Amino acid sequence: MTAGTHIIDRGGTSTTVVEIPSEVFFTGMLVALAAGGVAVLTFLALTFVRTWRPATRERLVNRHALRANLVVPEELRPALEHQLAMRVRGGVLGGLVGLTSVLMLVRPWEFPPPSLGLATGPLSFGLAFLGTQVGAIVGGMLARRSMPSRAVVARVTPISLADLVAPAERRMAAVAACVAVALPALLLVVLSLPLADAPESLALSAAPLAFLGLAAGALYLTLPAIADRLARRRALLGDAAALAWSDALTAQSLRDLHWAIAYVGGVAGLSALMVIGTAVPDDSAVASTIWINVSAYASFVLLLVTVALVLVRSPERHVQRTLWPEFAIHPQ
Amino acid sequence: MLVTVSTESATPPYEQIRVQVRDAVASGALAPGAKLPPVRRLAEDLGLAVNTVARAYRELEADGVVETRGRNGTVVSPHGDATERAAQQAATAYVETVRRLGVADDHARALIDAALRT
Repeated sequence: MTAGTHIIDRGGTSTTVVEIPSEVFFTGMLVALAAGGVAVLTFLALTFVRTWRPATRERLVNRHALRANLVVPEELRPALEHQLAMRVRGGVLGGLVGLTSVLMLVRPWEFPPPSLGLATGPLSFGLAFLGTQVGAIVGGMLARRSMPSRAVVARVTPISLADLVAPAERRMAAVAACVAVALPALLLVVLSLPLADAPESLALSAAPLAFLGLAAGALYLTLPAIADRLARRRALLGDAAALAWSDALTAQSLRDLHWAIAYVGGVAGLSALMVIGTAVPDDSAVASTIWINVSAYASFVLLLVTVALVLVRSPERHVQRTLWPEFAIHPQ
Repeated sequence: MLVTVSTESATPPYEQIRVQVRDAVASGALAPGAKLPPVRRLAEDLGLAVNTVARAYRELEADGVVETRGRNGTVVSPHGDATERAAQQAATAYVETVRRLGVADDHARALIDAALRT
């Protein structure tokens, strides 16, 4: 391919079109990707190293305390700082593992790279997020500490997922899981119909979206068991304040899993909904365009409304409101 | 329901656990059939030796407050608090005795009050 091709349009105007060789274009893409990767790795490395700084650890504790609306007794602070720092470190390492798996999945160094269609985005996010969450949980488990106290408190009766995660967030994840399972399945059914005529590039998305949807649904079903396991394995041993913070940290991990289900499952389901609109026969192109546009806008609005409805209820304070009202920073 | 073990109390830790579980069963905070945590886990959460918690569970079982079901763990006795049951049986026996003797109910109550004051 050569550069500098002249085109003369109907008005007689001469325009020079610079043709970029494919190799140059994709090399440039790879360089940009590599630069972005280096930036991300640098950020992660700095985050990891900063967890040893006292000022960073103090900020971590204060930020969590304000978010959860839980007081931090001075005798609990060192153990809590260590616990939060280890969670951050575990999250960084787990995130690196997740990002590596994403790279193995999309393989940008190959030409052409493998394509999972519309599932690429949510699948990549899901893998990276899952790595971060598992890493944070493992980091927390390795950081179990006992705090010095005059009394030690233990829970005799178990607590449930409902005690740890606010109803709004649980409902959000439930709806997203249903959407994630139902809509990709519907897409597979639609694509199998004789009159279906979706572009191949989008039809390829169907199976990965269905897989993502099922994964989101399966994760949703296992949440009560995960909650039980995490709650039983206390992060901080000691008095009632230590137990309150153990509950808050467990709740944070569970809340993150709910939001991951909502995002991954919601995007998978709504992406499938849009692709359904492309499966109509060619002579219904207008209907297809309307379907795609309406479903895209409706999905965006639905996302904004859902996030607003959930966050307005301060779900991050659910544990303090329901289990530990006596430890509130700001009484409600 | 939470159990608290004070490290500064003169009461042995196993006795603190035993009393709190017994009182929770009596008040209904622990329902019949409710499962108690495994000995090892409760010991770990409280920072106590396994034998200390095991002793508390043994004494609760001897009092009939809980039952050990092998691999299924320890549960609150489905028949309720044995202490409460024994007290109810004693009260029933007393009522039968005073009625057989022809003692009026008010006088029977006064006799109990007097006995409790001693």
